[in-house]
Amino acid sequence: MSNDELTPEEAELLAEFQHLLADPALWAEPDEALEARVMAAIGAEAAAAAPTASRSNVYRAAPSRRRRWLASAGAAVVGAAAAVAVMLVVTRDEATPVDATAVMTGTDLAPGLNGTAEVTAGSSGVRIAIEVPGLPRRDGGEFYQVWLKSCDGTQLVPAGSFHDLERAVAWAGVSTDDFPLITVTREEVAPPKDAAQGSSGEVVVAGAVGECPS
Amino acid sequence: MSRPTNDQLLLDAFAAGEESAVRSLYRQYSGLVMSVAMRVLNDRGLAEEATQQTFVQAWRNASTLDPARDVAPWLVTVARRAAIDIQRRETRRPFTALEDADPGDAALVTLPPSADAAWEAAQVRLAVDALPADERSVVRLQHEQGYTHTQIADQLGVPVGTVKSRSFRAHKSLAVALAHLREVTS
Repeated sequence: MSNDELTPEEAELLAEFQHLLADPALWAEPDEALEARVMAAIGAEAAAAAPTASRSNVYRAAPSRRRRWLASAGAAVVGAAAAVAVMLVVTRDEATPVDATAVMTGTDLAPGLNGTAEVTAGSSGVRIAIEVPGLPRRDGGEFYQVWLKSCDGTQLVPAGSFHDLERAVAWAGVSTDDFPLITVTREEVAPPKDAAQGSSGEVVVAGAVGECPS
Repeated sequence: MSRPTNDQLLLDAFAAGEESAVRSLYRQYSGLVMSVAMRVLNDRGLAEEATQQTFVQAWRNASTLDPARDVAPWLVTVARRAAIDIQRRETRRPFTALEDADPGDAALVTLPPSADAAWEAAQVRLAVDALPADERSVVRLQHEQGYTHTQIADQLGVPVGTVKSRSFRAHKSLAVALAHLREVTS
């Protein structure tokens, strides 16, 4: 190894870690299939924790994190379908009054991007006019999903799926008083019986319309 | 208005046992966990088993995680313990004659790395993972494969000068990232 350009101190420091850098264990990566096995193992454990509950009962049950795991998977499917239907009839109304505006900030998956989410409460739910210019369009089996989230992170509500967020309007049947956090994730269409289907967790932008207790 | 950071949101969600957060953390830290498990077990199949157990155990115990703290040391601790448990299980298997044993058999590994050694290795892995992909490739070929700059240039199809500049930047970054380990140990 040639580190001629490094300072003597830096070269000496790296020499101390040479045995670790040369160890194949350092570079080990799990097989790609392991992720699915891990998620399936956790999903099975979650299911085992509520063996007698039907899926609909799970949704209504008192919150527990294992039950939420099942609920989030089902809710994502139902919510995404409902959101697509809603998006077919909703058009952007520039005159709509705005109750709150969140600054949406790009994560490491979308560094440097910023946008806004204007929230308006209505009788049927909250309207979220979201604009994040610069996000690459996603087509085919890929899309963006808007979520409302509770401060403690225990509840997640889907608010719509989109090809792009240049100008999109999402709706959710909950209050931003209870779900003040807004996130957008990258998603892919999953098989209908995929037990692990839900948010991918790949948040591209995030913001908040209310304060969360620290 | 104070707003939680994205990392904070992710860890909050993980602590709450949210599936999406578990998946996200897996993608972020599975390499680190696998690396720790490999150092203990020196067997790819067993290390994957330990990696799976680590994330399942982490999920089970997520409520004990303080979202204000860094999750990596916690995962490294869980991974090391999971790997040691598997190593102990393997040593209890019906034995074969020593001369017939596979040299890579986990049961032949004498002692697992100490918690400090495991964490030091994990720190190196985190530092390597933080490198840009092109610099990481160069470092890996240099150290793991023992390639020269010329061989790396041939392997990657880039000029030798590019390899040298990537190597310099990478090692500079590693030296900065790992300096605190020397401060701790010296």
